[in-house]
Amino acid sequence: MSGPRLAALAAPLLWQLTTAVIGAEEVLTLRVPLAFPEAMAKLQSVLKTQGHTLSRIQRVDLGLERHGYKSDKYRVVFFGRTKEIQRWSKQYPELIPFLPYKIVIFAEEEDTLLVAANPEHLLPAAEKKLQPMLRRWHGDLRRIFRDMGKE
Amino acid sequence: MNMCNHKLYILLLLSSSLLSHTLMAAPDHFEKNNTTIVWESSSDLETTVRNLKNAVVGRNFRLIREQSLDQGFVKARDENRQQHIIYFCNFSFLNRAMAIEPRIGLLLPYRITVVKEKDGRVLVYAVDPWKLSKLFKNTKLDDFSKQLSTEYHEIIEEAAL
Repeated sequence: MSGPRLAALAAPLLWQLTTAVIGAEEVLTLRVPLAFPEAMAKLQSVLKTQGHTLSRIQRVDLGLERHGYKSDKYRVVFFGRTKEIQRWSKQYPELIPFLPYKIVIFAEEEDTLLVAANPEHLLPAAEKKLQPMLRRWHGDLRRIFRDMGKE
Repeated sequence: MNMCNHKLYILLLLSSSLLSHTLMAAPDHFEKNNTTIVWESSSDLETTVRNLKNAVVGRNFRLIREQSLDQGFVKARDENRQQHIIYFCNFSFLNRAMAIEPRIGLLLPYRITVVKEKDGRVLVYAVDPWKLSKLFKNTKLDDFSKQLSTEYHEIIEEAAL
């Protein structure tokens, strides 16, 4: 088998290996073999495709640099579905401190890491009525991470 | 008990009752085993927000911004002003924490939300950094998250009472 053909076959496997979700329990973590700008653009595209609105990007690195600290690219992305954010924050005030959703995205050497808290671990004593919302939210995050992990 | 003492006794009783009502923390079922802090404020929304901002700055945090919870989701004129978020940070503190736990961004920016409920109560919500940091399973973060949690409680207590 020729070198380029082998490389073409191995590429998807390599992508899968390098984008594996690490520790899918309390904290969802995904490493993508993309430079930060590409990963950020991809995240914005994935959020849009999945029907989310990106409400704000907090540039943590910029804040640190302004105060004299060296930092690699580090952002917090706030997002959600408008109707859901409005309805949940009114009906389920327990969720308010966690809304809108957020994903932390930062550069680590050549790669980019995405991190999110597993919503099902945020409110372990939540009433039963909240469980479907937390599961749905967790499912949303997993779908975002899955699509971020696709080549 | 003469009349004067009797009046004093009633006054003390009333004061005590009023004080215990004012100091009442929010419904504790929110907090039990959960990762949140919830307090009921004794002031209106505007005063509570103002008090929070003063308390934040008074503890050497920098106010980053304030906004309604649905900002960025709806047009400015349609935002729900009864759900107000204050974001703040201490970059020196953060810089040290990031060296210990790069995923610390899940606690960022530091945030407190003030909500005026339909029944007129004003509730103050925040994630408890100490409890949330347990998700990281990184004991090196304990000192940082405990200290931050104490700061959150003190800020909220000062502003909400």
